[in-house]
Amino acid sequence: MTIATPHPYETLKQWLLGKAREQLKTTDAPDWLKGQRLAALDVFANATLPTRKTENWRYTPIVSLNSLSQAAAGDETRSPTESLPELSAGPSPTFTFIDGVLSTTPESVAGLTWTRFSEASDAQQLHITAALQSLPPQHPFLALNAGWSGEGLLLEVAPEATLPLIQIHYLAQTAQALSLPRIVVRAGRHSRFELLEVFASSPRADGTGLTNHAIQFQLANSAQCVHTVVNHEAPEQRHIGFVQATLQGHSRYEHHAFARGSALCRRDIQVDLSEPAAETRLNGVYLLNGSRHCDFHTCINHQAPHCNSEEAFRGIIGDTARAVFNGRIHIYRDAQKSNAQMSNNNLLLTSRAEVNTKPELEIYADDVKCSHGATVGQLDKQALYYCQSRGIPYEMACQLLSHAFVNELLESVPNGEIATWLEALAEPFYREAKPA
Amino acid sequence: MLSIKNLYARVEDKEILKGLTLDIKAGEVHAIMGPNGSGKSTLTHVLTGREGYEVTSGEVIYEGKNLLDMAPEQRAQEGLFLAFQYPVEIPGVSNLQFMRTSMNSIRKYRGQDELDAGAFLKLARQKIGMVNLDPEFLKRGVNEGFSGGEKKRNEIMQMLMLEPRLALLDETDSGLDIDALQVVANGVNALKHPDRAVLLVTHYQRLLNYIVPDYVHVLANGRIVKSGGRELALELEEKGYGWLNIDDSDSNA
Ligand SMILES: Nc1ncnc2c1ncn2[C@@H]1O[C@H](COP(=O)(O)OP(=O)(O)O)[C@@H](O)[C@H]1O
Ligand SMILES: [Mg+2]
Repeated sequence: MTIATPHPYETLKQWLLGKAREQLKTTDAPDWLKGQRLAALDVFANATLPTRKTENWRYTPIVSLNSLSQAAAGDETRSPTESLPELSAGPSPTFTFIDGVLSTTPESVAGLTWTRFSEASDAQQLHITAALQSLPPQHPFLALNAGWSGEGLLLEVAPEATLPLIQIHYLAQTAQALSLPRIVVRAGRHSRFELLEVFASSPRADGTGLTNHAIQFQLANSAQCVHTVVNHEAPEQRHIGFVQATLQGHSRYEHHAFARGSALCRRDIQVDLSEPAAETRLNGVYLLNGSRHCDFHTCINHQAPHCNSEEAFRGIIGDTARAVFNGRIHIYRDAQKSNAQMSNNNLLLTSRAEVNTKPELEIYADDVKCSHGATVGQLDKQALYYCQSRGIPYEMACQLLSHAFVNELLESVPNGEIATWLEALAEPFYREAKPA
Repeated sequence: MLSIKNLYARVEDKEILKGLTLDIKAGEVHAIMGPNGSGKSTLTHVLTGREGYEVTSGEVIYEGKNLLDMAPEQRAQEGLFLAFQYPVEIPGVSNLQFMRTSMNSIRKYRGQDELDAGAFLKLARQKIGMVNLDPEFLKRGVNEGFSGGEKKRNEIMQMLMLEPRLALLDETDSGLDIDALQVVANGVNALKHPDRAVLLVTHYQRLLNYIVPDYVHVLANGRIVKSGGRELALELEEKGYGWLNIDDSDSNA
């Protein structure tokens, strides 16, 4: 493939920009918010959309976004999606976004307040503004997200509060829909909460669109957050997501990702350990078949001493699917006694499945413990034979071993109901993905 | 029950079995001895259908059927069992889950209902008790981090659960202390039945003090070069393999 012009995605960018401006005009946002949106759109307008020459996007072409501007609504067809199995987690306050628009909110939850960006108080406006402005400049889609005036949501967890499981569901429903939700979470000192975000497509076989999502966490001293993100969208959906967490002293952020991938699925996760004794754990499982794609770019910034990070991503890649994992650990000069562990293990089921995995370590402190490892392999032939010798049919043996490969991570999700549910979400993959 | 006729087999272009003939009838216990590298393990893997073990001529009839036509899992479903010389570790799959999948696969093949969870657990606990392993081992990954002896006990546990018609044991006695040896022997003796048969591959006659074989065969250079009763094992122990005029350079029997 040759890239014809210096800016191959200029048309796409202008189209997205036009859509964003049009929307801003027709939305009744308060002036402070409009100002923020416009500033963000300026950043987007000056950004260059990534091509394969952009280091961070080398293995994740965004070419599938072009059809957003080219196809008329309803032109695209897509496969019907299996509807999600029920999560039996008891009563759990749930927010639902449909095509990026906040459509349902829960009844009141003790210890939690939620506020639409457009209804923020003066004090809240400052927090939202700070969050919107803390954009990593290398990520144009974050600017697009900040400039989009679909509803944003601020969640505030009261100090000392312990919350029930909170859920946010994002449903892609309408053909060609552009969904750009933005969530800002502020957690008070010593608060504890668990958030489950689920991205799904409506089971109907409509067209698909783009989900460009961003969530930011501010964890005060000793706050604890467990965040699970499930990507279970139609294979044709395009998804670009961003997670960022800033951790104060002794706070802990735990992330569990579960992704089935899609035509384009790119997720950036950035954790800033900004004060001593903050701790994070990033786990992820990706199960890709067909021609699905999934790209995790993670970045853990050890900015302060005595912080810990543990990261483990595992994936199984079948058919002609492709996975990308880029794990960056940045240990600042003053971050002595940092502890950082990272691993990425991949199982390729076919000769046409692909994975690109890369650790990126930047270590400027001298008293640190840091380890990393990446593997790419196939199902263990000896183990398969051993299973068969016990009467287990070959295909079932493959399923058993695939299951075993990722199950340790799924089981590590602290909420048992979610862990069980994730195992159920994974089940169809084991049946569909055949080694070849 | 098992009839092997003039079997030739190769592994990676190397001819290893060279005209092996052996008959095993229901109710019998056979022991195969022989120097290292003579093809004992190869024989067991050919019988269970391991990939890469290519039969170039000869036939194997098991219970009236052509064994070599069957996929490895079907052989197991038909009642063949191999206790591996080197049991395989499967991290992430618990012993319990493994055995449950195994038993239910076999039951399904035979048109039986799946065992319910309670009945299965009870059975597993009983059998693991018979090999003196802590029931905690049921929850651990299959052979994961087990000691050599624990792996062998685990093989016998599996054998006791599956109750095979024909059990092949490949050097299950190697590296075991007397206690563990006793456990293996008790396991095999518990399985003995007029409808079943056992083929023991062993390097030492020690095991045969506990499991009395009906026949002892010497495998050398890919063929059975001598067969006899259990006294043959004692003779081998005493004299080594030299008197049989075979190369036993790396044998320590
Ligand atoms: N996978 C293999 N590839 C090549 N040669 C093998 C393989 N497995 C066994 N062999 C060779 O086959 C011969 C017989 O091996 P084996 O059956 O393990 O002997 P035994 O069990 O009697 O000690 C040996 O020479 C061994 O090196
Ligand atoms: Mg051997």
